[in-house]
Amino acid sequence: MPQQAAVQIRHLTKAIGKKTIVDDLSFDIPEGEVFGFLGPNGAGKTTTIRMMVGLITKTRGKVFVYGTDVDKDFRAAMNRVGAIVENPELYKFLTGYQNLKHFARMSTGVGEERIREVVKLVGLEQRIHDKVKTYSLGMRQRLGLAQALLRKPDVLILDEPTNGLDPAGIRELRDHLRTLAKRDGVAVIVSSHLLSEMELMCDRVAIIQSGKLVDVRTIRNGLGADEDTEQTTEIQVDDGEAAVAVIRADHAGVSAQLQESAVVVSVTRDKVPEIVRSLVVAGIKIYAVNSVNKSLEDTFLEITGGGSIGV
Amino acid sequence: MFKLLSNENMKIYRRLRTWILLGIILLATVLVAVVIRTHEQENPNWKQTLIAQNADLQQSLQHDQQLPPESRQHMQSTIQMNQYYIDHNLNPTRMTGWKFATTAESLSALLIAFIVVVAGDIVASEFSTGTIKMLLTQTATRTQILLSKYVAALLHALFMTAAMLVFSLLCGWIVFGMAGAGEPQFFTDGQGHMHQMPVAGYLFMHYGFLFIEVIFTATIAFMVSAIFRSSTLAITLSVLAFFVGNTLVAALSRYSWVKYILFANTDLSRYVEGGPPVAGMTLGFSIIMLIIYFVVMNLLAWYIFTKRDVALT
Ligand SMILES: Nc1ncnc2c1ncn2[C@@H]1O[C@H](COP(=O)(O)OP(=O)(O)OP(=O)(O)O)[C@@H](O)[C@H]1O
Ligand SMILES: [Mg+2]
Repeated sequence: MPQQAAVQIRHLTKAIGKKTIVDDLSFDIPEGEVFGFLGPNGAGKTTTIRMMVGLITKTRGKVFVYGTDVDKDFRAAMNRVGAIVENPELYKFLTGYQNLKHFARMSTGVGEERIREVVKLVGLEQRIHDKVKTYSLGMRQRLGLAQALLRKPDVLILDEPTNGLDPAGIRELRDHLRTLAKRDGVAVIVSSHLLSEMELMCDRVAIIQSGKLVDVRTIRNGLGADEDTEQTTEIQVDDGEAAVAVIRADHAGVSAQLQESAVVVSVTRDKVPEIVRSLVVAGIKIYAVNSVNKSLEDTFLEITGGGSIGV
Repeated sequence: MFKLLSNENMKIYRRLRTWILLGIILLATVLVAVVIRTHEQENPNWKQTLIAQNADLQQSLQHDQQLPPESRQHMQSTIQMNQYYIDHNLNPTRMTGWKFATTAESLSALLIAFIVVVAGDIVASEFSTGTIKMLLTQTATRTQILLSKYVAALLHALFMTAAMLVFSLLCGWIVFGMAGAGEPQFFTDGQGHMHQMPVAGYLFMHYGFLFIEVIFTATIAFMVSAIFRSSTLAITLSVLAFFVGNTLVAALSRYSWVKYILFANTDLSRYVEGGPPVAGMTLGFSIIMLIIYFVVMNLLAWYIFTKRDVALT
């Protein structure tokens, strides 16, 4: 094995009665990656996460955290994991600080200093000594995240972490998760049913539908974008037809199509500035340049079938 | 493990409910003291009354030959007891702080009900609030978490029982005075023989036996709580089991199988005073039954708590 995966999931299956909720999932998550579970409501994302952290038994399959079987040595495996499963439910009659203290006591080597650190990290300094019952959903989400970070986990598992966060909070969380992954090598696993969110946050996404793994895709336009593969780029211009002509003339081999008022090209990342320059030189006005990952969106929409819940 | 226990303690004692329940017990104790104080009628001629009563009893004993032997024994015991009071110039109608504390022990039904509220809620509330997910995704095993909760529940039971003892003594001392710890308390055993011991010793002995009952009722609540994950069910079932169980044992005491019911065995004080509910039961038998019940209930709670899925909430 070239590099040890932080998390290995092998043939993970959960059946309740005759119904198979999670069906034979297998994939690896390397360290330093933000990995997304994407799927419509009821796809089995939460169920998968529950199995990973030992809340429910596995009908079949195994989960390894840095090579440790979660079922064989729960304590050793969980010592490297921080998690929030579904909504972050905390003790409402305690303050945020008392809650963190409670969970710090359950971990080894988490002192007052670390508690203060995570409180600052999630931006809860102002309210940390208030009772949790006075918190808003977003504040509870932040406190839940603080709890998950207490142990400086190598693997962070978050189920719908953006639920309840305001746009600024989502952005902060996204930046924060990416920093954790890139700087500290944390393997971050997030679940969501929102494609747009996943595109911005994740390096790779597993698409799950009715408990089955449909596809694992690398997100190409994220920070970790691949330099050599082509991506779809949309250029908003004043004169689409002229633009297509310019591109076809200046860049042989590049496919350019007109879609409504935009020109859509499929090129590698380093080609984008060249195309833009030739358009500028030709006197075409450019209003916007967006990179889109049509193929992922198409796959996802196909699966979700216009919003109906897959059962 | 110690850290887990302090977590559980924090969750019990940082809740207002815990203190409200304790407050109700203390209030009830004060109330009993006030009622006794205001209705207390010391009989100034108590000695004459006792002498007259003894003379009556002697008469009956001598003239009524048809008396069943138990009655005879009981009457003789009463004469002995009265004579003791007369000889030692002790007014049996006079309330003391110590006597009050033994009287206030009758609030134990309330105590048990309140202890069960906490013991029956300690596991179930984690499920109803969803915090169980957070609790079980830390590094502690389910066995450790369950054990810490059980110990915390028993410590709370001990705390409440001790609080009731201390408070009823304080209350008694303030209202009726501290004297009289060595006064004798008379009681009859299963065979109808009269015994006596200092009232202070009698009080502590009773609290010891009460605590055994408390442990078992709390264990039932804890077990139901861990198995069914519902505090309502746990509290209702165990309070019901406590009252119905005790009544049932009393009502069906002529059947010998009743001795295998838990509640026929929880009140060990009956081997000292009053006799066991079913004839032929021995202290050794009861202790063995209690140990069996204890082990079975805890194993059941442990097995189900550690094995069952934490389903979607
Ligand atoms: N205890 C259970 N018994 C039977 N079916 C269950 C049980 N728990 C979950 N399911 C079913 O399993 C499927 C997957 O549920 P899960 O909560 O994992 O979905 P999800 O992907 O997290 O969805 P969401 O986006 O709504 O959070 C659903 O169809 C659900 O009805
Ligand atoms: Mg879910």
